[in-house]
Amino acid sequence: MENRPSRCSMEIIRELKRGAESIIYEGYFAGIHAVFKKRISKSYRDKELDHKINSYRTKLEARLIYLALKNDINVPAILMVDPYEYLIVMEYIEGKPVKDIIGKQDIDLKRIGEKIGEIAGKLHKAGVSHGDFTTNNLIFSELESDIFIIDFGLAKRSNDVEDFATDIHVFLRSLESIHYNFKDEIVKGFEIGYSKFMNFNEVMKKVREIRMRGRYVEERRVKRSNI
Amino acid sequence: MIVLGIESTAHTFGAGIVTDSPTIRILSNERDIFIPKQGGMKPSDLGRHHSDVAPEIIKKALDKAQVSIDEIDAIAVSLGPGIGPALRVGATVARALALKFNKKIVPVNHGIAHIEIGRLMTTSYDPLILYLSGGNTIITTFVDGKYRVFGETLDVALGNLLDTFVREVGLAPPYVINGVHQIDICADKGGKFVDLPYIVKGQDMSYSGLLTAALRATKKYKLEDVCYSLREVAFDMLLEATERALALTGKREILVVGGVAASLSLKTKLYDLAKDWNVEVKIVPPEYAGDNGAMIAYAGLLEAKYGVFIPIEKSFVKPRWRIDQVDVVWR
Repeated sequence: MENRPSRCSMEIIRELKRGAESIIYEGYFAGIHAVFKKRISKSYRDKELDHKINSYRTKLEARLIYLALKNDINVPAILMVDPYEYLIVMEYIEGKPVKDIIGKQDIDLKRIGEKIGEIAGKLHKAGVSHGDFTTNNLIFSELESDIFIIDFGLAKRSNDVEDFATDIHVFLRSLESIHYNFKDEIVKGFEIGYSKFMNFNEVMKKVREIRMRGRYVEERRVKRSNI
Repeated sequence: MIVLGIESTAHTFGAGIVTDSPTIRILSNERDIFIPKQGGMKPSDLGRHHSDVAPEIIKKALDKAQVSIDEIDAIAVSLGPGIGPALRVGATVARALALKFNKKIVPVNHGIAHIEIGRLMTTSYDPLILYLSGGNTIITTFVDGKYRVFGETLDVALGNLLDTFVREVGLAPPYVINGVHQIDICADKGGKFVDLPYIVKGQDMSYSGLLTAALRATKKYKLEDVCYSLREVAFDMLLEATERALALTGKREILVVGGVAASLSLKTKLYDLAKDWNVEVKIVPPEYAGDNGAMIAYAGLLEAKYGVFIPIEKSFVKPRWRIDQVDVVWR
């Protein structure tokens, strides 16, 4: 047995980021520059609920990243999955979050928007909704001059226009809350990219409907309430 | 400057008086809360209750502050968001006082008032804010002139979810006993986790399905276990969205305002979260957590110093006035 090819060598170099639900480490997996995504047990959460959420999300995330990869979407390749340790090991994407480059670097916002739109369009066409489609989860790779989508932690299989619209709603929300000055230009590009794969207007109709559901939305009641 | 604040967006009719000379002080904070004997709040009953108690509450606020109406420089009134018939009482009272005693009216957004009194009471500098009440569940922070919404409930509010549940299963009213909500009293007797829908969409939460599922679960499981699971799922959804907002904004403080801020179990969970993130949690004191007039007076004072007034003929109530529509000129 001692000659059995053991589990590949794992070496963690440093903590990259503490996300909302996981810690991301940089390291090497069998010699490949890799990212280790380790979901954290929350001290505030009920143990059973915590295990349920973490193992379910680990397995689902790995499956959906692979599904995206098969559909020609820029995602990191999966190297290993351990649902008991809540661990996914994947290829390291060299780059910066789109969140950090908007407005700071001299970039073609419309082009960026188009690439993001393509990613969203391809994902939705493949029947995947991302669930947390924010500028924090889109990585700009200077090397390939392309954008990658990461963190499928809240993704699910779906062909429901409601879920697609939720992705776009969340994306627009992330633009409005921090990049509001650049939103229009990015959205213009997004429409072009998304329309290559999906019916943009149909999904946007649903986005507007979702926004109307929010509490205290002025437009929901056109009638002036009264005095 | 001395400002009288009037609050009547929902179940509370409140009046408070705040001054800024020599330093900012709350001189009085009087209120009367409408609690229906059974069922939820009927808007018409709210209106009736508020108009019944309004004169007495305002008089009490003036007496306690030991100021006469002549010494008041401006009247701040909460014009929204809230329930129309309730809002209208506050607005009408404010207009009447403004006309009779020749005062200016300051329009105050109820949510902004919750946030500002929270910042004042906890001396928060630039926090991520959780505004949690019967009518609102909002994660917000100040960016470039406005309180921008990072996440919110897509349907019912957290407070409404918990209140409706305990009422429907027969635990309430009363909703709160010695400062502890019925959901906590019930949940602390349970502890077995029952599967309930956990719905976070990005940074937004959806609670209406959770309410329906929890009510249905009471037919199959022990009520105490459902209470426990409902509370855990509802708060954990909020905390997950909060962590996302922390990751996105990098804020070092969390400020909790609104009626649900008084919840002990939420506080415990937040302190755990804060340890993980190495951030500080600040919770508005109970007296200023629920709806009150002092917070309206204080927000009104901040606005009045920057000349934010509204002519009487334009002082409409705005039942759907979002916090991100308000220009925060005083920050």
